Amino acid sequence: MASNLNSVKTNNAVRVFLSDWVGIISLLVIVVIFGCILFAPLLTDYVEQGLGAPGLERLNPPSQDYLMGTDRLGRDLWSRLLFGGRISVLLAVLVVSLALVVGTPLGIIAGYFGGWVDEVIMRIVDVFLAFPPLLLAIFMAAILEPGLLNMVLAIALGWWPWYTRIARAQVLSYRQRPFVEAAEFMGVRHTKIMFRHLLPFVGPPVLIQATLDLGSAILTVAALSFLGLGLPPPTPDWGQIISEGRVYFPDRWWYVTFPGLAIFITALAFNLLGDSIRSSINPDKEI
Amino acid sequence: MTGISIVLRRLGMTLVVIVCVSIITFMATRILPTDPAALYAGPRASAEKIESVRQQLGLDNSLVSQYFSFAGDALRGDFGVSFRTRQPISSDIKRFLPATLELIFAAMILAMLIGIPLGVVAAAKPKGFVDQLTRLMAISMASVPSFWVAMILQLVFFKWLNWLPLSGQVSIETTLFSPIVPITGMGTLDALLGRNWVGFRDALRHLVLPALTLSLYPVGLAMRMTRSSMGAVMQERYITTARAMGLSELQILFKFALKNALSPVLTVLGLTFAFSLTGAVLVEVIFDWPGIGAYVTAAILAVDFPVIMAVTLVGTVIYILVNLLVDLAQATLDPRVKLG
Amino acid sequence: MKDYLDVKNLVVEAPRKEGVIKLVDGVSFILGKGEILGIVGESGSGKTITCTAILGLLPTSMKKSASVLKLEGQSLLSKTHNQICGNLMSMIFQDPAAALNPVFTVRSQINAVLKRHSSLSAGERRKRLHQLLIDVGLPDPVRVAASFPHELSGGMQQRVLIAMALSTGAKLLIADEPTTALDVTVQAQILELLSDLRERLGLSIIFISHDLAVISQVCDRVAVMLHGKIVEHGEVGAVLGNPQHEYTQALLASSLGQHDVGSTLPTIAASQFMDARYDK
Repeated sequence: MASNLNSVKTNNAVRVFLSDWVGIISLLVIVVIFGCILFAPLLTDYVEQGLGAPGLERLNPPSQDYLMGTDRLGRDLWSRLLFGGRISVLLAVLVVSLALVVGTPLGIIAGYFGGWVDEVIMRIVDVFLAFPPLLLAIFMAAILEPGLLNMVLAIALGWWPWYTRIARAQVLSYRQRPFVEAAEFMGVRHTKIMFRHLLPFVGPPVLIQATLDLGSAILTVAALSFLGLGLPPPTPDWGQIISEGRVYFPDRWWYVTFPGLAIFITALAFNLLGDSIRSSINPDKEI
Repeated sequence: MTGISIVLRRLGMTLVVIVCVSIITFMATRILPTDPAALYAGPRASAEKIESVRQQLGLDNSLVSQYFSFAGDALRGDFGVSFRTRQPISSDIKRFLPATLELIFAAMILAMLIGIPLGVVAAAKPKGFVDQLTRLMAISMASVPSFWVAMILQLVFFKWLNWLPLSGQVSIETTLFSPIVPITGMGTLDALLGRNWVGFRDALRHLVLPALTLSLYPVGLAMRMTRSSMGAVMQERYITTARAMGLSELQILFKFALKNALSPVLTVLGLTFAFSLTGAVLVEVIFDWPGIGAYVTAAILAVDFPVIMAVTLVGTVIYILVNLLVDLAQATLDPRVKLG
Repeated sequence: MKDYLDVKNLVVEAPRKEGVIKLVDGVSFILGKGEILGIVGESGSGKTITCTAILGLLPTSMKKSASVLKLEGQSLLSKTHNQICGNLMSMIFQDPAAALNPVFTVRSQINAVLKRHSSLSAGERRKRLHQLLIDVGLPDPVRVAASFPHELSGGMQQRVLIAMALSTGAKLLIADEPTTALDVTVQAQILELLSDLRERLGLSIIFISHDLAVISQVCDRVAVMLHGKIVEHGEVGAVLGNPQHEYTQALLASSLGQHDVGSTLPTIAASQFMDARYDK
């Protein structure tokens, strides 16, 4: 019963979404970006340089041989962007996934059981939300040793509480519905109620938030890398490339401009996509 | 519950949160793999030196007693000494904080001045050109890496147009020939207060680009929140009544509707401040702005833990207090809301 | 002039998924000067839209047209809502609490209207404001003027709204269900106030309601609306005493005063009166 309602809503949402050209374009852009990143070795002649091997022509401007110019060690910038993009996007996805996977169940549990469980979880949420998000990430990244997992952890620490709040709010609004009470009455196990009956309602807003957060995650990852809190070389991501190129700015403008554009376009695509999805589900509500 | 007791309860909770934050901040630095004593003593210190440093810094006591001495000192404003500058951190913070605040306030003012009117105009004609444009602009502003925009702005306004200075808070000439007497620590304000017009102009010119960069995201935020809030308000019965009484659309938009729409905009102000606290870190680095952001960035590079911890703690407390203030201000703006 | 407001064949169309629908389908009526005309009907009959259309306050998606729409001989069709509202006529809406701006005092709201429609000085406006509040039956004008709407009772809010409408100086007032949100004793007071204002100030009033009893108390003539059309109109006594149209009869039959306690109230299936409303 509840799933029928959901599928009708989904059909409507899909229809509205498809009529919004902005959302479709951003989806296409994301597909293209993912494609480039996945098939990176196929898209360039300078695969080793993309992976870090130095080249001969240092700091060359964009030309026919080097689409986006070369960096300070002679490496083709386009290749570096392709391979660096793997890291940037991967990190962003990991951050959001971690925050989501940790935060959502906590929110469902808090909203479902209520009482002291709810209080405890929400107080913890309050404390973590008390930190300005980037500051917490900088703090944790500075303390922990540089590394992929540590970086993901540092950022995700500031983000998981949002998912808890969203999940909890959804659970609270559906908690009293007849189908939940019926399931409880019939003796269905708590975990089953929470994750089979309530999860479909928690899913959509959480996923919308995740899509939007992917955009912010790309930016945060880039910021941390730029500040030197990212991964150790030679696995640089876009933010780190900008940090390298800063010294040569504005003369060797390509060194900074292209990675920045990459970050901008990727984040923009995710943000526009998330915004479109949100508008499709709530067609009357304008944000 | 009466109004006062609600405020007190809120204050109490805030206090608890601050304490928890301090515990977390403190604990995080103590369960490091690296040894702070070794770091402080320097790379070539002998084992005995490290040991004496450890005793000197009190690192050999129990964690709990360390925390309480840390907390006690922090309450008195003593955050210890920076590894890097060898100065008391509190005096470092006092030196650098005003410049950051100057940036943040400038960004907030820009956000209000640009964002709110655009949001009002966008709401006046829903789905119109201005509306779609502001929506796109707002999302774009939220998608752009601030440190990159900063550099692009430098490229355009300094390298190509040569209208504005590259970096810093004041130029060398000003420092030499018409120095600004520091009163608050904020360049523009101090110049104004000291009637130093040359210095004021110079400081203002240096303020433009960093403030603009920092305000990018807040402007977008202000636009969208004003638009969405106004959109809801314009549907209200009292707006139709105002029209039925013949009031002009302009007056309705900018006076009678806007005041109702401002409550979420206050949230924007708070969010702007919060965002700016950390956004300033990136902006200050690019523009060589002598603020807390630059200070903490240098600390990060030098692995200067006491500074990192102190700045995190101070920054978070300021953030918490600002959020509290915003909530209180919400209540006074809408006479129906009573701090619940 | 007898025909103060002359409306002939007013049509309001709105787009719907199924096609264009006529919310108001050829409505014609006349309002005399100093007269109180009632428009009665269920929700959705088009009574409010008719009046919003006359004022020019329709949302842009809706289209209005009429063969005649004149006030004192002047055609209103070419005028913007700015020219009509407040200058020629004004309208007060159903729920007085929602119709007043919650974050401004009564004084600032009415003052804005006074400023717009008169050239009085600040001091003169203050005096006029207090006088208006007294005129609508609020004995303590200073306190009321300084209050926020939520600090006033429903009856007082409605009086404030009426005062605001009066402050425009317009002689035609459209009152949309002014008593529906109020309780019965306050209702009677407001009705009396409106009659009184008609006598003293020579106002012409269009009174919209779904409540026949209220209409019968205060209106001179009445028009019965159903599905966007006027199905019957005439003097109040005549229409209510001797209704010609089935719908009017059904309305009368279902009003509470006629029945013994415990008997079943007759209901109206409005669909039985429906003809094709949708034009493709």
